[in-house]
Amino acid sequence: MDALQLSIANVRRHAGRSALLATLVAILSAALFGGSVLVASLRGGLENLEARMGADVIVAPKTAASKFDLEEVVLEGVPGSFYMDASKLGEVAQVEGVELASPQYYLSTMKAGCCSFPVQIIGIDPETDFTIQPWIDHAYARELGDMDVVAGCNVTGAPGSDVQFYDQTCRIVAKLDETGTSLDNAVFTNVATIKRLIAAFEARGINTQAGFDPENVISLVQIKVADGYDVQTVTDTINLYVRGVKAVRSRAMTSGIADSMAAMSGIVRAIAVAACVLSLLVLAIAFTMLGRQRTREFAVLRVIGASRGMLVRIVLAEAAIIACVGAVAGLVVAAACVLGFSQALEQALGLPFLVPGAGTLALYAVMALVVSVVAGPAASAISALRLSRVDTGQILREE
Amino acid sequence: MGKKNNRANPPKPPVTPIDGVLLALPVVFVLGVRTVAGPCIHEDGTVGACAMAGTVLTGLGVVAAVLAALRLYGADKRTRRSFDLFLVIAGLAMAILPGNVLQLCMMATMHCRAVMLPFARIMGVALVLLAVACEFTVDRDIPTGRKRRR
Repeated sequence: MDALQLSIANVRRHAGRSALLATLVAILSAALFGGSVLVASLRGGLENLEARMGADVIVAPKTAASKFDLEEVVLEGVPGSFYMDASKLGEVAQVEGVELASPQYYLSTMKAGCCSFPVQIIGIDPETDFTIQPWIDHAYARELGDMDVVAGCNVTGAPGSDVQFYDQTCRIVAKLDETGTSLDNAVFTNVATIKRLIAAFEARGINTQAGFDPENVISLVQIKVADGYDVQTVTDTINLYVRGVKAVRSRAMTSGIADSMAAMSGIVRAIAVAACVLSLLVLAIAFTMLGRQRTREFAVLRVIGASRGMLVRIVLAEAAIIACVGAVAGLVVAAACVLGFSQALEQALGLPFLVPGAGTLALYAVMALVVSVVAGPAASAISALRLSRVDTGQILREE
Repeated sequence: MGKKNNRANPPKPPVTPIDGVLLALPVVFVLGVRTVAGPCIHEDGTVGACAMAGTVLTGLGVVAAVLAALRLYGADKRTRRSFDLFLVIAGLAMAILPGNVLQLCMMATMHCRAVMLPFARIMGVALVLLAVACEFTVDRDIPTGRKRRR
């Protein structure tokens, strides 16, 4: 029987002890993989959010800015319906330094299909839009027809299926790729369709902003500032000269999220590092204690002819087997929790969350596996050396 | 005399930790589906499309728990193998039915899709793996029914 066979037999014979040690390695592996994926997902979500925020300035009706938290509506996708006169678009576009100005129409539903869950419908002007249209072009290269909608990835419904909003039947023509932002929870359509939906919404009499003409309203104006102009100056000018609106720098909106994300990433990293350090410490202590308990066993092995090198190999092989099993188990559990519950995590954190692609996930998995598998034998190395130097005669005499 | 008695009433196979886990898993599943990992709760008290899925999953969990309890009384390998097979089917049903056959709510952000669906899939797969593991590890020492003489 060689060292490996003896190690396997030892692991199987002491299943409880082996399971406990494997659990420690599993915690290490899960903390490494889970922590890495969580931090990468938060970073990916923020990068996507900043890429999506193509506008330098967002102009909303002043009443909406006081009634709704614009950051929640625009960035976090909390559904809301608010309107201002369409003439504000022209006024804003005339402000010096405004290069592009595109209107958006926001309409939230009370019921969507099967369930009572409000969905944000966003109407865009494909001719002028420079923030959402590029994302839609990836999924649907053609022009949006009458009552056609493009759904975010979190909205259930396959392309070609119908969806009802305010008793109006719309057809889902495409679904957007996952962005990890509020775009995932919204439905997008063109100006003609959103105006019909707003009219249907108005006809129901549930609009609190009564007395507006659905044909003559917009919700937001997305602005791109021309090169050479200061974004803050343009924002201040709009707030000063265009009445009834509130202009907000989009960077100011995302900076709050970036701060929250940095804090959350720090907490996740700290927890992961603490779990890793604790697991390694406990592993080292456990292997040292086990080594002291097994001195007689190793003394007997020496008496029946096992070399010192073989004793070291037995201990290291046992640790490696346990570490392999624990590392794989920890990885599977962490992957199931982080990837399976990614949507719930995103909601719980309240931050943009985009799980990395398969390649990055595989890289993190390999890293976690390598570190965890090496950690087992490393933690048992001192114990292995000590056991190999046992004074056989003295130990057997003591017993 | 003692040998004859043993042949007439073969000793019950030992209950190993993995049997305990196999029994605990469906119980945890049922508790989860009825509490934190259940269907969506609407503010107006109405029942959504996912309520039926929650009820079916609870039923599947109860059936799996009963099967896992009954298999402990299976005195021979064939009986246990049958229970393991049923548990595999129950686990597959837990993992596959919601979202495919059982209708869930519309948005992926809703509780039934964000929590109940992954919970059912993870627990279903875990149940299948455990039942298969039982087949390969625990059952190997139990004599088959054919060889036993009464």
